[in-house]
Amino acid sequence: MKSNRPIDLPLSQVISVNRSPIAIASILHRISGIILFLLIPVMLWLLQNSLASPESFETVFDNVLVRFIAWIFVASIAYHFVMGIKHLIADMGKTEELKSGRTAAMVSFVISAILIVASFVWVMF
Amino acid sequence: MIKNNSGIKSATGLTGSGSRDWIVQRISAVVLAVYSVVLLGFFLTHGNVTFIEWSSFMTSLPMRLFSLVAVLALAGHAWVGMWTVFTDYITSGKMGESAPKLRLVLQTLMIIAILVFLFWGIMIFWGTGFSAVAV
Repeated sequence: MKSNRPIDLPLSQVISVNRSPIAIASILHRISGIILFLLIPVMLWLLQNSLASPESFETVFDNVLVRFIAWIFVASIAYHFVMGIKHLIADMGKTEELKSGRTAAMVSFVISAILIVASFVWVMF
Repeated sequence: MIKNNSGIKSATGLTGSGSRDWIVQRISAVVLAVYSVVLLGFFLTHGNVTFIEWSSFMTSLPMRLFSLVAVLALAGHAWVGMWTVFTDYITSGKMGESAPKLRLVLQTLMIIAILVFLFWGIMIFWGTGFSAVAV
């Protein structure tokens, strides 16, 4: 079947046209994934030092900047995790309609927000 | 437009099959989700984690095995995910004629980075010693 739908809209235009929670949840899922990918080397370095010796363990976790980056990582995981579960539920054919999809996106936002705030308190203090 | 008759849709995808990439993405997602929950569970049951508690947990045989599986899952998950991002946004329609070249460069760097992370991650859990990395 030949379709004439536009397939090459710039991302900025897609976002400005489609402001539904479903679209925002989706693009943030991708952005959080990119952040996680970029932070993999930092977290491997952190993991290696946390296991190397009691001294390197202390040095790593006493550093506020390291803790802040670790929080960015944990917050991104929390968001990516929640939206990933939402995605798996959608893969099973549930919450795929406009109304249920919006509800699923809003519920996921609330759960992620709680986890992100809680992780900030947990990692930073 | 050059017609692709190679029988493979994209040589830079992880498995060369869209449905297989799709399955890899889901299976690795579940592995990583369970791994995250296990780590969260450890931290929630250990108020102020000491080095001894942390290292004896992470270097126990079950966690070394699970971490190996998680590192492999992460490599597959990141490959499929980043490939999807590159093929969706670094396109001729969005960025002009140089997009395929740029995309190939980015995909190559991404694949090399994943191979480095994969080896590094395995070495942390299965290498001979846990030496600190200089800051």
